[in-house]
Amino acid sequence: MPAFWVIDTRCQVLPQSALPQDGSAYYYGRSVVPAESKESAIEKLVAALKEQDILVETVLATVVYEDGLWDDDDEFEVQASFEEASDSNEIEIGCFLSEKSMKGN
Amino acid sequence: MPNGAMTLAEGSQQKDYKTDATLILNGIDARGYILRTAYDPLPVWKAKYAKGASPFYPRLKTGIREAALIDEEIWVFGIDGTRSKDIIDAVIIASAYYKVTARYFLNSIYIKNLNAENERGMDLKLLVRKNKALYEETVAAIKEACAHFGIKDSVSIHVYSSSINYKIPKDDLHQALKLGGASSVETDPRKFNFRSASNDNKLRARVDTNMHVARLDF
Repeated sequence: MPAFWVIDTRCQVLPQSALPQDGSAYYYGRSVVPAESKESAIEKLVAALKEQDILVETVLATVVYEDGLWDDDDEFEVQASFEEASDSNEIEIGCFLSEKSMKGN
Repeated sequence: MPNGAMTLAEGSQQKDYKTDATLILNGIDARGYILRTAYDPLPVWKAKYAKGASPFYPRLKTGIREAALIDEEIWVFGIDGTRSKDIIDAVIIASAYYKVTARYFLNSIYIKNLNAENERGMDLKLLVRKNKALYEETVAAIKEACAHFGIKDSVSIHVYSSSINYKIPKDDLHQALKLGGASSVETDPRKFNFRSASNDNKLRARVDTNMHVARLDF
């Protein structure tokens, strides 16, 4: 039975990526990945993001979804990602926050 | 000034994703009559944005286009902003629903990040060219729709797009809006941040954005 891993990342995004961009050097993500182990979850996420021209620079944290304490209005939309990942058993990338958009808040 | 607005190319109905139609240059104005339009036909839109929760929205019988009421605003689906006929149809539906004239919607138009379909794998230069054409054709179609309804006073088209947007940089955007028929284009000095998604809704991000205001004169 795979676990649902929540992985926080700091990424660089190539100009040709379909991710909306604002010229930020970094974009922060919180993704949900179904996998048997933490290592395998990270590996799967890095590969999935690379396919979207999003390069993981640092993995900031990795935790099993149930072990995390999530705000109701989590900015990365982790609850919605978890629900969709549970339904589809696929990676849910979630909503990235650009470095510039974080400075204003 | 009529207290209404129209948006083009909406994606998700969720707060922070739908286009902010309340901001105006140098101030904030509450809008009374909002017409939102989405490029996707209703079944496609539902599959992309209303997964899981499957919200039920009251459908409106229009005869010509699929429309629904979402959070007390009217949404019309399958509207291609580069086709004046589509814009005219959406305005007719909203005018009938709210019982106000077309001017209420066409005087203030809001657009967030228009982007050509099938961008994945596309050369960035080609994507910029396609996006410029998209904005140019959209402005021209809005102008035609305004002429259809006999609108003679000035019309503002508000475009939310980061000035550093690789898919259409600011100078290219302004040029495209002018080629489409705008008499002037200004960039609001304020910065905003909104959530935005790729056309297939697979990649989403909160990004800083700018507001560019194109004016049409008749």
